[in-house]
Amino acid sequence: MDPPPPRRRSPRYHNQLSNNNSFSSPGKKTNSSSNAGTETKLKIKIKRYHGVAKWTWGVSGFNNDDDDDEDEVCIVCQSAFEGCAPGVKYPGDESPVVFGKCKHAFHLQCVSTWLQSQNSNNPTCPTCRQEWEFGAERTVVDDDAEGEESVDV
Amino acid sequence: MAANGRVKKEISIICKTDPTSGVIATTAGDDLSIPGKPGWRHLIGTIQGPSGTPYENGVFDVDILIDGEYPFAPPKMKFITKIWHPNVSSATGAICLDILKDQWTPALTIKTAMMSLQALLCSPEPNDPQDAQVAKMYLENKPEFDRTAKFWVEQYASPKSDTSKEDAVGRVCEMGFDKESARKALEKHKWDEQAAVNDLLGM
Repeated sequence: MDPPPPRRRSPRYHNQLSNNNSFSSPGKKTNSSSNAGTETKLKIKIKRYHGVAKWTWGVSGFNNDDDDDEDEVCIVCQSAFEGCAPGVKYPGDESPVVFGKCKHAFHLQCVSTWLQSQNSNNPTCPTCRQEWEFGAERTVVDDDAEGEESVDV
Repeated sequence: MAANGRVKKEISIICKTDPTSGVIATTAGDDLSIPGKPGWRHLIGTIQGPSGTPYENGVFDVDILIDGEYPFAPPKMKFITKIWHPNVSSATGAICLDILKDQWTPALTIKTAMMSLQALLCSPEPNDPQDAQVAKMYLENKPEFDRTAKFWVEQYASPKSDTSKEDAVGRVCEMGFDKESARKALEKHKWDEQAAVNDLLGM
């Protein structure tokens, strides 16, 4: 799953290249007060910036209706979906989240260990005890509802 | 060890006082871990007897062993405190409860399992007994069952008052043991004088 592109903000700050002495002359008032705050001039020069993106598995809203990704944990290992399954070093692709036909989500490693440990031809979902079948695919709507992306499960 | 993080989290939750649930656990002894069994954990759970049942006012200790398979296998639980209940062995404390056997799922926790035990005290299942003798009495003579269960609570599951503890220490001391070791042995054996004396005698 690719991280979404960083959100862009329209630049509100102005380069002060043409006004290099503004810091060294506190006595000289700018006319910002007369602008009544419509446009704040920051005497800051942006040298570089880092884009930061946040990703989630988009499990919430699927398991239940509240929209709080932060507290969503895999019920088997009780750690966040976005974290690592036990014994896995890295989150993300190495700790994928899978859904059953019953729409309950788990770390792949967690539910696999459970299914094997049941030693049965008809293993069941940890949450609802229905016969477990891997769900084929699901569609998530991302936060900004800009489009839909599908997650292979 | 499949889910050490989960076990740690669970232990910190279950060892916290939660007056609404009536269940709590403490670590057995000083050290949680068991020598030679990495990842295993030993806890002592305490369940308040539910009101409106013969177990009311009783306090029941439960031995909880979390093995390396947990949470993919249920925690091993049995009553330490003797209890008269169709689904608990009156001799060994072994428990017959489906979620502690084939109906376990990793969605359950130590806490929910203990709360299920508490629910079992409210609604015995005499048709799926662990102790056939108790179940027979439950089905054939309910008043006698209630009396017996209550008597067992008074006998084994009632928290000892401080004065009765002092009396017990005094009686053990009269047998020729010093106060300190008498108290220690009594605490270790949940104020069962006979067991404490046997322990002191090295039996």
